[in-house]
Amino acid sequence: MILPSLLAQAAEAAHSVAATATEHSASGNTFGIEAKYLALQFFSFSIVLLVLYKFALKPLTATMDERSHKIADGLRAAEDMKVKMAESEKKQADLLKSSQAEATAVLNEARATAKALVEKAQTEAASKADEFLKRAEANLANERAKLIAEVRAEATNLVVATVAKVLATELNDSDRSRFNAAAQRELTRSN
Amino acid sequence: MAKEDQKLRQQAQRLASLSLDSTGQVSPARVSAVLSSLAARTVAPLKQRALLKQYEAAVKRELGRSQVIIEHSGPIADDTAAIIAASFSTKTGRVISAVTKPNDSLLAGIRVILGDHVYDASAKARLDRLAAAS
Amino acid sequence: MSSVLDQIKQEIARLDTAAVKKNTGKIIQLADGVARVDGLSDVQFNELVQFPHGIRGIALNLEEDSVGCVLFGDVAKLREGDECQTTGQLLVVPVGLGLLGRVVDALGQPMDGKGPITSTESYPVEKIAPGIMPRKSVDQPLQTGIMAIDSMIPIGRGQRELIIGDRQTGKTTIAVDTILNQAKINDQFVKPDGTFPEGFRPVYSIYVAIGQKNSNIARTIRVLEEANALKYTIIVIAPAADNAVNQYIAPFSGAAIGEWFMNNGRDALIVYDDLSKHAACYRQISLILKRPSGREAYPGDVFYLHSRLLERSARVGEKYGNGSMTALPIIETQAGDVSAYIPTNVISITDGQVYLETDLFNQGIRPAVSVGLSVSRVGSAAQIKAIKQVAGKIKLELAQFRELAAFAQFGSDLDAKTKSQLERGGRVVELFKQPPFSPKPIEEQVAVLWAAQNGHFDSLPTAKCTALSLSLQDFLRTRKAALLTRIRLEKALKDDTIAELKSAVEDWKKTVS
Repeated sequence: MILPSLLAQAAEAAHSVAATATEHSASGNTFGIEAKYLALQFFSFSIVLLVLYKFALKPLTATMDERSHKIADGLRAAEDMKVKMAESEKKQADLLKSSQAEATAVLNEARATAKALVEKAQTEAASKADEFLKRAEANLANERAKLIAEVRAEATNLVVATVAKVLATELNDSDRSRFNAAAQRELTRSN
Repeated sequence: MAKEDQKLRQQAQRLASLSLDSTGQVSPARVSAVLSSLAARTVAPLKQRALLKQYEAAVKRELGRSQVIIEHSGPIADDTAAIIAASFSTKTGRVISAVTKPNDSLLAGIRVILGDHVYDASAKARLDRLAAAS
Repeated sequence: MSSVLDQIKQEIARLDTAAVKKNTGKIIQLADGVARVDGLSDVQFNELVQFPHGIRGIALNLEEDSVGCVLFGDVAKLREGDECQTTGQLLVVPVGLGLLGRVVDALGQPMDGKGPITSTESYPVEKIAPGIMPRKSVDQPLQTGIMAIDSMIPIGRGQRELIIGDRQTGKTTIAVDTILNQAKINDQFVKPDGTFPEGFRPVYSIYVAIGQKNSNIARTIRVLEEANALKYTIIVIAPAADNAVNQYIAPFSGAAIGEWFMNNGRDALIVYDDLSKHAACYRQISLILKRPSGREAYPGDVFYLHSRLLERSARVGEKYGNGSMTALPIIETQAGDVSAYIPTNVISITDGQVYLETDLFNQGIRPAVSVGLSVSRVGSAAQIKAIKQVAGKIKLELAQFRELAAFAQFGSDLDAKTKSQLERGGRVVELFKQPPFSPKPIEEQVAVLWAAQNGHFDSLPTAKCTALSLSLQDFLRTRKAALLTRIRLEKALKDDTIAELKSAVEDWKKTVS
């Protein structure tokens, strides 16, 4: 809006200069500047300006406006992102804190369980050792009982064999007949 | 096979009952009569042998019912056999005869065998009992 | 030493001098562990007969002119013509608590080298079973530790439950798992001095190995020892190398040992492994005794052989001993044929069967229990309330699943309800899989089944359900032991217990997803 007015003013000025130039030229051509050519030049120059303004300046300014808008948007977005990052960092920190707390709790529980297990294992081991000892003692007692039973059996066999041998050789007929009489009484009585 | 065995057994049982005298005792005379009649038969040797074996077993069983064997070690009184036989006769209600047999392995005492019943009053039996008790 | 001599002196002083009467016989035929004896006119049926060299036999065939005796032990020393005599006694075995932890043979002689058996009582091997009046109905559970059985085919104390299946299907494993579980339960309640608190009834186990390989028996003993279960177990062995008579007598000896517990206010569990071999041994003995043979060459009284053995397992009332004896006989079928002679006999005698299928075993479903063909005639009377609450419908669900399984191949053409039934059934089948020799306590079974019934496994992959159920059990055992104890003691799922269980399962799920 300004430019057209400026251009109009420039055209006016050009016209006035052209008018004075023609005046001057009429009086004499001191500068070699023909007033009417100057006027025409100003006129064509203003046409060029107009054309440039319409076909070049406007799109140019439009693009520049766009660029500055984009830059402004980008800056705003960057600002937003900064804020968001700050927020997420805070969230992460909070999460880390809470998970650490959970992990500590789990660890403590695990430690307590491990301790309980270790104690259990210890008491088990102690009782196993006791059992082992008891079993060993029981084995010893068994072995001894077995030995004694074997010795007793052997001793009895020896006694029986000895008696049998002694009776076979030492008994004389009168002993035997006395025994036989007693046996006979025994047999007939039990009948 | 089993049926044939059974037939032989029954036959032997019949022959054994024929070998008894009127008192129910096995009579040697009757046994020899049975044996000679068997010898006179013409039967296959294996069958004959099988029958004779069964007859022997049957006669042994009969003897076991009617005769005691008195095994003794050392001298026994003369009337021991008779006393024991009488005692067993009253006990079993049958006529029992007695046979004595010396057996030194008894060491001392008497063992009476009636069929498959054994009445042992010998020293050996007592020693065996002692050995078994421990 | 002086005590030995004193004892001998006492024997000599005690020696009585009366005449000894014996009834004798003579061996006329000796073959295959059976002696035919001439004489023995006073012998009675089943009487113990003494042969030379310490060999004993029992008179089984009383014929007109001879007696058929089956002989125990090594008969190589006997000759035709040897003399034998009656003893006037029946065959007896030592019984009592002194046999716990010991391995004995069919006659009660120790086989484990740990010295003589300490026992003050002897029971006859052959005994008439309790009549009708002494019996009490079965209502106490016997937890086997196998989820498939405890939930769907429950066994009670005093019941006879047959374990039947082909070879190598896991029959012995089920029996051994049951024994391990009884020992585990006993250990949970035992006091430091070895006694049990008032109101708790421990279960003592007897494992009778009939005709088994020595290696199998050794392995079983080792498994029991490693699990610390041997101290509550008595093992009666009659391995395949023993003569047929020992194998014939062994189950009856085991039953006599179990009867002591039953008559003395205690509960016993007896496993007969296996009765097929027992029947084969009895067939061998009968054929040698020239008894007439019937179907499949078995003697005519082979039913009576097993019925008189299994009828001795019962639950008796307070006045008659206040105990029980539960029997788990094992029968091996050929090619899955349960309609053969001996299997049908024993099925008709027992109060139910656990049927193991080779197909299921090969598919990886172990224990290979066929839920459709297995039954327990005692049923839920022998279940605690907690298990009834969670497992009441499982058998039905599995039956429906099996019916629908044929359609599983048309996976895309099924409606949502069918699909969900198939999925649920597949998960339940996976949950019932269990590794051998690891019985599950009843409270853990309740927890796992509750979780399954309430859909907590529905979001988890089916193929991993077995491992996941083990992980749930582990979680509950280590972190929620108090909850498990509560379920075990209360024996029912009350509302607060269910709430606690729910939160526990949800906690567990967080750790696996």
